[in-house]
Amino acid sequence: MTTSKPLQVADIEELFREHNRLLVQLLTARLGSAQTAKDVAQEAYVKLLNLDEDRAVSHQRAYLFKVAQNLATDRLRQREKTRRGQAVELFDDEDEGADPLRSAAASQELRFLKAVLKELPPKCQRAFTLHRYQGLTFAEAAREMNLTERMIRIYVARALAYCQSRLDERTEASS
Amino acid sequence: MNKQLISQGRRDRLLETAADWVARIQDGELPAETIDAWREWLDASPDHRRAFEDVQALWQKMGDVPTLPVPPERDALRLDRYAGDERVRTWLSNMPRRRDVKHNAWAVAASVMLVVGVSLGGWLWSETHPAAQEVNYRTVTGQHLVVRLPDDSSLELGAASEVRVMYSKSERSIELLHGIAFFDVKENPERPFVVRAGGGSVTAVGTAFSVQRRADEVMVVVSDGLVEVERPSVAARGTVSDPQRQPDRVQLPAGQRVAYSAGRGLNLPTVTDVVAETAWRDGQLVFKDEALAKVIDDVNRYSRIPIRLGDDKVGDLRLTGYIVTSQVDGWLRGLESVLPVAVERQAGEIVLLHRDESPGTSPAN
Repeated sequence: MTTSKPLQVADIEELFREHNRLLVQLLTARLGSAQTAKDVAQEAYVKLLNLDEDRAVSHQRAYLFKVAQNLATDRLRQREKTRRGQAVELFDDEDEGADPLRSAAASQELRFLKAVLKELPPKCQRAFTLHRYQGLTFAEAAREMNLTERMIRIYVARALAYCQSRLDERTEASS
Repeated sequence: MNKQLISQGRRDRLLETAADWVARIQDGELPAETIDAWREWLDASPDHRRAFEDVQALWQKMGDVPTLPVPPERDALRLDRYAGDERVRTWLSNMPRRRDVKHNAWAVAASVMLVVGVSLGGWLWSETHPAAQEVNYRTVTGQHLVVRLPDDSSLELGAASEVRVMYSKSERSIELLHGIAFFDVKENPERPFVVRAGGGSVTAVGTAFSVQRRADEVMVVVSDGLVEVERPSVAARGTVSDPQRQPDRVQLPAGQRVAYSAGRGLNLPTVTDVVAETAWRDGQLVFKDEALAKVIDDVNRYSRIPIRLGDDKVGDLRLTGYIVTSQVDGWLRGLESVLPVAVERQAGEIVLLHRDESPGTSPAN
């Protein structure tokens, strides 16, 4: 490779123009907030600029996505730590009292979703719960259930698709 | 909301794909080519994008579900046979038939004969239920299955594979019908553990090994202990003397592999990288100077769209590297830059064609 050179502001601007939309989309999907996604993307550009080592121009894009996704992972871990610290009562089968701040429609939808979770086949439900509510990675959930990571991912995806399909039905019926 | 302009059938199909993307994105860092595949899928149709955004929003909403249901009981988990190879809805619609089995051991034993791809507890093989001694396990493309056998041995079935388990008092017998399986065997000299495949057999006392059926041969890899491999003609015809004076059987220790076939008999055992050979259990296929024909054989057990070799010349190309089995699409996209092939998407399949590279036209680096 002969085209290595340190990253310039102009390079970052080009990366931004061509890839920022996709990057922010990806990060939003991962982090659940467009604002946090933009913050993380911003952080990634800064990190790239402050990098001393030379890097081939062709690798910049892959590197940008890698750096940004690493930063997102850090955020999620931090968030998970905070959440665990609060010791939420996760396994209470009683419905929580109504939250006055939450709209009636939204909390009804959540109750519906909770009921739908119970419809899932046991292993599917377990995999989804471990990943979504106990913050286990696919690898950790796989160890816990003695399955492969791929199976956990399949269970999580199947659970999501089913819940959305049940939501579709519900929306259809009420509209 | 007028999202239901598309049929519920199509919408449900899109939701499965969308949910798969959401799950992948949640799990962690995706390589650039997977991100590109994601974007391509999103951009292909507004319906795709809507499905993704809905499932994504659902993922966030689920985080607000106030309290969770009590986790499933251990028995419920053990008896659950949903292996993710069909939609949850399809599975649930067949539930009435399956629900009864929880309460009736005989019903379980009977349904085992009908339902494949199951995971069962050992008590089903009770000697008093001879009808329950034969069980088939099968996986579809891309699926893995870990089965705990009644004697505490375990088997892991790779994608698109099938075994028949037959346990008797004197022998633990497994037949590999196709694909690949890894066995972790509990030692019991009184009751040998025998895997039969393609006419030959592999006998273990207490050990861990994998057996794979390919188009014309069977490959045995030992990761722990020792197995005895018997070649086909002996197993099939008894102790008929052999003009080629090939050994009938060979003792294969950990760290070695051997292939046999009906035509060529038993090859010489060779030392191998067992970690690489069994990486499929962790979702990777590792190849060292392997013919592309064999590589594609393996990859096809994971590819949503079947891959075909355009001609024999392509099949003879050699490949070294590894493939993440959940990212076959990305791997295919990169293949053109590694080998002189053209990857073409045709109706319902992907075809690999030989790309001629005369010296004058190769790109200068």
